[in-house]
Amino acid sequence: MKPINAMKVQFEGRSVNEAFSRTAVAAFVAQLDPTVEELADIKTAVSEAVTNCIVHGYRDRLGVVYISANLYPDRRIQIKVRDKGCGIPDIQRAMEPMYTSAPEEERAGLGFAVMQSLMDRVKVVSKEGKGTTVTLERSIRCKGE
Amino acid sequence: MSVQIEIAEEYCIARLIGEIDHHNAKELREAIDNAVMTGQVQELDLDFREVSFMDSSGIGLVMGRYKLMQELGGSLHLVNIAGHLKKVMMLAGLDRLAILDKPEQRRRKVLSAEPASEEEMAETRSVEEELEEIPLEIGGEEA
Repeated sequence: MKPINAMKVQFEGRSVNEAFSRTAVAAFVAQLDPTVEELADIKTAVSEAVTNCIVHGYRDRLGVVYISANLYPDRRIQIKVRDKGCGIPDIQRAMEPMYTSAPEEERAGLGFAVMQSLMDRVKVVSKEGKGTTVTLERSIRCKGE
Repeated sequence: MSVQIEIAEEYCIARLIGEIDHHNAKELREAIDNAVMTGQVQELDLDFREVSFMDSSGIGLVMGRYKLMQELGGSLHLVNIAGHLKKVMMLAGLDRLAILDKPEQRRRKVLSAEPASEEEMAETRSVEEELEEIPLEIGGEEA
């Protein structure tokens, strides 16, 4: 299926940009007229994915975070959040609730669990030393449906 | 993001304002912990009424303060949790810690109370039970 609209944004992986990134995606999704709840879900999932890039992907350096979003005719939004950081050696383990490789930051280890419960689909592709791409998908319901 | 902290004896309420994410969680954590430690706080309430967004960094913040209060032999309660925040907290199982949705009025009641006799204590308890039945109002409208 071909997207009916698309956007890309990239920014330095500074934590102050976490708010920028979720707000930018929300502004793009707004054209589907989502509910407040749908928008909050998407913002939260994006926030988790971008935080992962900054906290884990670029753990000890500053890198660039790339976001692309596609809107499809069936009111589905697909969001890709990508870093060129260290990669995840064991994706299955990283996605386990409560597991965190950064306990000193008081991370709850719930990033992926939150993404999975708020999105329809979460896909993670990662290569050690190359980076990680998280793909989030969510359908926006038609109002009155 | 900011936090307003009020301390009265061993009780502390921290009113969180704005969005809670990884970027500002550390600052909030330090402000709250500093107040708890210097004020020798035994009862900590975190008020989420003015929080417009929260991701799992907020869960980390709550779990960290829960652990801190446990270590100090004190207690933690979360007040004014609604909508999206409630969803994220439930998802993390914070409801199982039995710290959610405590009416703020109850605290105030306890605060203003003089050291009570046993009879008065019983009365206070029944008032508290009544208060607990009241559903949490978010809008803050006059009754």
